[in-house]
Amino acid sequence: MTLKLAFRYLMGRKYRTALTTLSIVFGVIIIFGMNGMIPAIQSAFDQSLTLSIHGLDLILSHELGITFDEERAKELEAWEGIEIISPVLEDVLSLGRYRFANNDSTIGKISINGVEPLTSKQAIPLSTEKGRWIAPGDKNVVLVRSSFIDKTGYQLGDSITLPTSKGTKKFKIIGVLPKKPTIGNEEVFMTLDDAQELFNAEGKISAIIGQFSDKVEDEEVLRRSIKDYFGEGYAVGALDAGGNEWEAIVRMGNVIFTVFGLVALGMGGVIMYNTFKISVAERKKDIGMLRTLGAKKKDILQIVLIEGLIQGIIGTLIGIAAGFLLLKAMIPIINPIWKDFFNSELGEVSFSIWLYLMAVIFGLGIPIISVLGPARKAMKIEALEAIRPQVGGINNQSFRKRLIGGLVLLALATITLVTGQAYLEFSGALLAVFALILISPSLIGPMTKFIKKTISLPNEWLIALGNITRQSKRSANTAVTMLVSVAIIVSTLGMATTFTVGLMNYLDKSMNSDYLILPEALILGSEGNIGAGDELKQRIERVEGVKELTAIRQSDAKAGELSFSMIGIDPKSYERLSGLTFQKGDEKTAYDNLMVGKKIIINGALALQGSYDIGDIITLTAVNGLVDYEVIGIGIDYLNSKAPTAYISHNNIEEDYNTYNNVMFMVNRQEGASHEATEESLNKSLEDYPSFSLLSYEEWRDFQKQGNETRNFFMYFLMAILAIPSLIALANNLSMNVIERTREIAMLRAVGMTKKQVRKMILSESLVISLMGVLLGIIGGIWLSYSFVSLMNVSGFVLEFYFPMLGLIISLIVGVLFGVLAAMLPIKRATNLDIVEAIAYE
Amino acid sequence: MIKVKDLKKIYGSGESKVTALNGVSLSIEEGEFVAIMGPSGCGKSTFLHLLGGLQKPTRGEIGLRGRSLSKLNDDEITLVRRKEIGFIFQFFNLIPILNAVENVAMPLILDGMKTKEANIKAKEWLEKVGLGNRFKHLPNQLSGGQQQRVAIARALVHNPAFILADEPTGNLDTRSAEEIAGLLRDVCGKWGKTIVMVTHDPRMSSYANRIVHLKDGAIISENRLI
Repeated sequence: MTLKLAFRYLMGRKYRTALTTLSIVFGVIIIFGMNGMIPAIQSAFDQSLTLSIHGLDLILSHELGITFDEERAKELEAWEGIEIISPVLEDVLSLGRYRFANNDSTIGKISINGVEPLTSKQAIPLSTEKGRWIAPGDKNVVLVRSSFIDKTGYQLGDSITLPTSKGTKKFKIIGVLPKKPTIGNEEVFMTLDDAQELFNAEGKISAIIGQFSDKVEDEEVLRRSIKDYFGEGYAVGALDAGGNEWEAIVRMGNVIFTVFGLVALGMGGVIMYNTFKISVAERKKDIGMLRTLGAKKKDILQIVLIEGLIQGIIGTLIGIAAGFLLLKAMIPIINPIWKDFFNSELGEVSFSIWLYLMAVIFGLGIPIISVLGPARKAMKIEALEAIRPQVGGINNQSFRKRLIGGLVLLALATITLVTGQAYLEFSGALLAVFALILISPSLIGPMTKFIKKTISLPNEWLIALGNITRQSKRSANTAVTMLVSVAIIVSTLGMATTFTVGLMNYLDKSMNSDYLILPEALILGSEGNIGAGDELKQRIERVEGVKELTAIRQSDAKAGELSFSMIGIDPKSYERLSGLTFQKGDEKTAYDNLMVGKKIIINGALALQGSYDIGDIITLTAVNGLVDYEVIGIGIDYLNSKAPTAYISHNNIEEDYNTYNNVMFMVNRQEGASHEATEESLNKSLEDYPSFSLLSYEEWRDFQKQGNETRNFFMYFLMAILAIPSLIALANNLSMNVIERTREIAMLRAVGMTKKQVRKMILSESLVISLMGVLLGIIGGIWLSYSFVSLMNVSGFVLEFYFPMLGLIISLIVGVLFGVLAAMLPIKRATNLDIVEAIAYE
Repeated sequence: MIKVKDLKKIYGSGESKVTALNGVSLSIEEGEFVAIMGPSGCGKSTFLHLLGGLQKPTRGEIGLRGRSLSKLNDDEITLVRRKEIGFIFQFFNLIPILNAVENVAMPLILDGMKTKEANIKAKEWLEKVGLGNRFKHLPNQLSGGQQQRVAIARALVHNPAFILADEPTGNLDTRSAEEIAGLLRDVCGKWGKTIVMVTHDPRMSSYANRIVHLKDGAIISENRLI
């Protein structure tokens, strides 16, 4: 019976039920659908793992992904239990202009596996489908996968052109291997010598691979002993340089989607709480009647809870189905963009049992928790209510306690602003948002009075303002959902504006060159950055019209467990053409000292993460073990402003990281030299280096700006998702206002209110509530973004706060738009109501 | 003057069809106090709703001071109600969250009058109906009779020519009912309004000038009392 009644009650107010259920659907879509994307991203990452050779007993590599001497492979040859050992130089090669393209597909990057001809055949369990494996004495030959043949149209015996660190080179296809098991980068096998030449890594390898003999009882013990023998910095397992960052990104994505989903569901909870509270108040007589007829308190509680549960079940089911379908539909749309950026395809979406569980727990839990309060209230309704005359819905509640609490919190939040402590300021901002939520009902009255006094409004608006004031709590609750959404919009845009403007300022400050020569990989911020040796540097220096240049190198680095990026610079020329913005240390002496011994400049992010300061010694994991460096400055440059980074001299990056290639050049033109002619000559000098592109400073700046906007786009998308529940809440509360006032509106119609006036009245109610939420949200949002920027500054990424004017404008537009949209259905309902029916019965 | 000709109102269709009014014709002169009487379900409330333009007739004509209501659209009918008709209902239908003055002022505010001015007029009418000391009271702070007085003041505040009252004493005790009936007679006699009142109470109808008896949607008799 309780189920039947609950169901009937829900069906009796279909529109309201649909709106509240929609809010649950929305939260579940975000939690379920967006998190379902994580495995697809994970799979894309797995595909881009550099060495995907299966069936190897041993893969030994440096945990930084850097190269080491090939001689070290020999140390394992006589190791007990090892049957065969083979050195490998493996890296991703970005093809730049030399990308393989036909109508159907493009290959922009390939994985190069440089293998030793004699031992590799035995070590790597791969057989050729056509042609042969690499043999001693081979030069400039490659083996490709059959999938490469299918995609490019090349055949056995054809030659392919690849960029190398010393210009382009042709390689003959001598063998075809089976299709790659995963989609990711195409693999090309060549001799170790050729690969070393290609990557400018003479005598270096990136991994030692091998097979164990059958006698080995415990392979793990053997692997561990090999790792221990090689010492600090070496790892046994798959090559996964960069894997940790990927994992962190995936984890972060997971957290973000879940938090966003919970915020959306939380808003849904507020909507449900409001709806049920009013619904219980409306049904006082019904519930009283049920009690008169013998229904127990428990039965009443059950009816209301079941109503919430039914909505939760329906919302969760639809949310799961919609999330699934949405993702299925989104993947083909996102994939081309994703592939362009990361050179690997998003995998299949997959939904783990945990994801289903999470969707169900939150999708059902939040509605039940939300209706618990109203359900308990319903339970307390006495049978007498059925015969007691209805008292009009006058709302003369006092919000004194809320106001006092809110003001106290607001005062505390304001005090945090003068402490200068970023963490306190950020906590203060969160407090401020909460305080605004608390004081919002008390603000309704003064605010409507202020509007009435300052603006001459038509009478329908005055009636609307009266309605808002009389229902201050509900109006405030509705405004609060707008407040939360707008606070998110404004704070996100505030941060985005600060980041964009701040980064551009850094760029202008730290890049003083006329031209930048950099690989595509660096532009796109992904792997495969082959770089070029000093030959290219000398070639550029000889170009007519070039005054000076500085070359930059890069390697992954580690200090203890702390991973960061190591930049190799020539301090003298770097200071003139680029330069760091110093936060600590003297700029002049720091550059000079960098040339002498083991000295290092670190950026703010690294200083914070490692708690380093000037004069500290940092012990780095280098290619030959641990090396101590002394910190002589803390500074920041544009390219590496966000990630922990350190700067050392070219000599040191060669010595400790085997990094001989330059990944970027910054070039200045001679005074009076023609821009066009210099650019043309520079382009000519890059002809043999297809992975490098020449950009003028202005082009590079535009490109960076564009990149920033693309990144911001994702934030805007999430913002839009979060704004929708507030639209639902606004529409829901307005319709409840209309439903509750059906009799009143009918009365107004009877005494002469035209449909147009009804429309105006409801629309103005909606707009006023919505704009009130927007105004409070703007205050909260600016506060939040300001404190977040302070927090960022503490993390070493120093930015000046920029006022999010765009956020303000967007919020106001959203406020008006939502106000109008939310009012549409309630208006329809109010204007179409049957006057006689509405006023005929008590 | 109200002129009703061959008025017919059918609810529903097919087997559930109910004929509420079946060819009612009636003329009401200005300044008349007409009571419509009849048993429950005879169509008297429907008749009143049709006169007030709250519902549209299935067939027939309603002329209000020479204008045919059936030829007007919703907005035009609403304006007729706002300017020329005042309603009084059995359940008062006051807006619970508005006080007495605000309730009475509502028709004037809807007509574009400034709130301050509307409130002054509302107070005048509240004084006239004997509620000069209840301006700020909310409906739930007033007795049934007082609530109906507020409703009457609201019906009169915009100076309409016609007052349509649907069982105005149906929800009141005998004493209050007598008072309201007397007040209505004053509304007609003192202030010259035309009143059409639906009632099933013979005592209330005795205050009218003319009694029209309805049965099964048709007029069965008419009596002039004075």
